[in-house]
Amino acid sequence: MDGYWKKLLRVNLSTKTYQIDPINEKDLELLLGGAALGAKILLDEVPPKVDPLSPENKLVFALGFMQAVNFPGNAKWSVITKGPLTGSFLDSAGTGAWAPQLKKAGYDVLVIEGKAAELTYLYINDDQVEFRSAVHLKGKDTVETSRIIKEELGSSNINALNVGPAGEILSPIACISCDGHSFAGRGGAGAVMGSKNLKAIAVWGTKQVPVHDLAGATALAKELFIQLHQTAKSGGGTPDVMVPLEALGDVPIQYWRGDVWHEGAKMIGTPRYTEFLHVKPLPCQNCPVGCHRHIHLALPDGSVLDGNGPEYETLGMLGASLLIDDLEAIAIANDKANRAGIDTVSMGAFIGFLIECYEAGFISAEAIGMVPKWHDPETLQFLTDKITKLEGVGQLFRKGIRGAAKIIGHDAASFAVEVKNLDLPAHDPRAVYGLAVNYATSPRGACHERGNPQASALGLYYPDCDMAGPPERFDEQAAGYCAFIYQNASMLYNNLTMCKFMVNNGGLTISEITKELELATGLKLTTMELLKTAERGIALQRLINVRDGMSRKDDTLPPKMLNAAQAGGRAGKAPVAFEKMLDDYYTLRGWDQNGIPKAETLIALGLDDYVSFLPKL
Amino acid sequence: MIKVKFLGALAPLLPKKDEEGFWVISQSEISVKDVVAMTAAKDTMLKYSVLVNNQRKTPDYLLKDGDTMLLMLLMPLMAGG
Repeated sequence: MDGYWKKLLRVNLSTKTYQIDPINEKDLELLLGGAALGAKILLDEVPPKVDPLSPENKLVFALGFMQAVNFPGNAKWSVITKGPLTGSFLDSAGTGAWAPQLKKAGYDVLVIEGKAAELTYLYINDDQVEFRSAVHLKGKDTVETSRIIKEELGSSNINALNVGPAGEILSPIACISCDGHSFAGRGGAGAVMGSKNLKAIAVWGTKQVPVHDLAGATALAKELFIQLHQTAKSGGGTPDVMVPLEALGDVPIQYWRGDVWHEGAKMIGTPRYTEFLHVKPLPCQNCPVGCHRHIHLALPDGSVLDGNGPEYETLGMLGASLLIDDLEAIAIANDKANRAGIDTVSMGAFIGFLIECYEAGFISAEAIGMVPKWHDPETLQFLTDKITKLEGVGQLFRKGIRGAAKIIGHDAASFAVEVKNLDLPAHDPRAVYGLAVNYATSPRGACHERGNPQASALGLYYPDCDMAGPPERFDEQAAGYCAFIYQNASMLYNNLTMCKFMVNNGGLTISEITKELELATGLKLTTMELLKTAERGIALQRLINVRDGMSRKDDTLPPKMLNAAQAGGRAGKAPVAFEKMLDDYYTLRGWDQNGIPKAETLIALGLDDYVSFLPKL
Repeated sequence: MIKVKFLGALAPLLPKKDEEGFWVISQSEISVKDVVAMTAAKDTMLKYSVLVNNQRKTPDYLLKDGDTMLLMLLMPLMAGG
C-alpha cells in the first residue's frame, strides 16, 4: 500500500537514542493512521493504569495518508497518549505545516519514550535526530520558543511543536502548540510532553513518499482545493457562529446556568469581532478555508496585541460563560493562555466554577485572592494569571476540576460541568440530545471534536453514507444514532489527519475522500468501509479506557445538564431520557450494557487480536 | 425526470415534495443553477453545495433524465478552536 512509509520513528529521551521500526501494513489498512493507529500503539505498548506524567507513558504523533500529497486540509497531526485529566486515553489534534514535514522526513508515526535528563528539544532532519539542550528555552512562551528554534536551525520554514510554561509546570490543561499558531488543545498532552522534559520537536524533511497515482492524486488535490475554496467562504471565521448558536441555545451562559444572552453574543460575535479586533484570515498550509483569525489590537497601555484571535470556543468559555462582553479583555486572556500554552475551554470552565463556588460560600474571597464576579474583565485577567501559572488559587486545579472540587469540598462537585474530568466545551447538550451521548461516551471526556452532533442541528449530514437526513435535535430516539454516526465521521478525520472543515464547511464528500485514498494508496474502499475504519479506532480507544477501569459508570452527564431552560432556543428541553439514549448508543457500537465492547464486535471489526484483552478487563 | 431534494435547513425552500421528500421535475437538460432559480433557494443567504447522484457538481452542471440532485447546507465554521 502506498501513501505511507510504513515507518515509525521511536525516540527514547532517557537514553538519547532512536530507531526506525516498521509499521504493519495490515494495521494501516484497518486503521488508516492518525488517532486510531495511535490508539493501537498505546494499547500495545503502554500498560494499564500507567501514570500519564511518568516516563513509562508514551507520546505518539501519528499521521494518515493525506500528507503524502497536498490534499486540502492536510496540515493536521494527531497526538495520542495517556492524559493527565482522565488518567486514560487521550488524543488531540493540531494543525500546522509540521504534519506534512514529518511525512517528508520519512515517517508516518513518531513515538516519544522516557524522560530527558534536562530540558531538551528534538530536531528531526530526515534520517537524523538531534537531541538539543533547551535549557535556555525554559519559561519561554509558545510563540517565542518557536521563533528562537527557527533562528537556531536557520530556517523560518522549519516547524516546531512546543510547549509553553504551562507544559513545563505540568498543568493538566497544557496544550502542545505548533509554532504558537495552532494547538492540540484539550486534555493536557502538553503536560505529558513537559513531564518528559521535552520542550519542542522541530522537523524538516525532503522526501516524497511513494504514491499510488501521483499525477492523478496531485490533480485531484488541485481540483478539490479550487472547488473547496470557491464554496468555503469562511466569512468571519469561527466567531461567525456565536450569534446563531446562542439563538439555538447551544452557547454556555453563566457557566451553564443561564438561558439567553442575545446582546452579549452580538458584542463578541461577528461582525463586531471582525471590526473591533482588526481581523485578517490566518490559514494553515494547504487550507482553502482559512478559519483562524489574526488580530491586531492597540491596547490602552500603548502595547499592541498582534497574534491569534480567540476562536468560537474561547469566546464561549471566556465570554458567554462568564457573561463578559468585553472583546479586548477576552483577546488579552486568550493571548495569555496561548502563550502559556493552556486550553482556554478548561480555563474558562475553571473560572466559572470558582465564581459559583464563591457565591455558594464554598470558598472565600481570601482563598481566591479577590472577590470574583460575573461580567468582570478584572476577574478574568486575575484568574487567567493564576490558572496559567498554577499559582495561588490556580493550584487547586493541578488535577483538573475534579481535583479542585475535592479540595474545595461542600457540594462543589455538583457544580463542576465535566465528563471524565474534561470540562464541557462551548456547546450545550441540552440543545442537541445527540451531543449529550457524544459527551458522555467520547473517549477523552466531554468533547465537541470527537463527534460534533451539534452540527446536525444546522443540517450537516453525510448523504453518501446511508443517512436519510440529519437527526432532529430533540429526538430522544435518534440521539444514540446521532452520537454514533457523527463520532464515526470525526474519528475518520482524525485517522486521516485532515481538517473537518473540508467536509463541514467546504462540502468535501466522504465519496471524494475515498477517491483521495485510492489515488494516494491504491486502497479502494466504499464510504461505509471508510467509516468502518473509524469504528475500529473508537473500539481501540474504548478498550484503553476500559482496561483502565472505565465503564458505563463513567459515561455520565453533569447534573446541570438535566435542568431545562426557561427561555431561549432550548426552552423546556433537557435530555432526561439519557440512560435510554446511552443504551441505544451501546447497541449500535456493539458494546454490552456496561459499555464494554463485545468479543463478537471486535471480531467483526477485524480486531481479533484484542479479544484476548477482554477476559483480563 | 429529475428528482430534487433540499437538505437540512434548506428543506423548507423546496417548492413541493413527495412522500420521500423529493420535488420531481419533468424537464431534463437543465442546469443546476436553473433548478435553484426555480426555488426560494435562489434568495437564500445560506451556503450550500450541490450533489448530483452523490457527486459534487458546479452550478453549471447540466442535469440529465434520471439524475437526483441534492442541495446540501454547508456549515459555518462550527466548533473549531
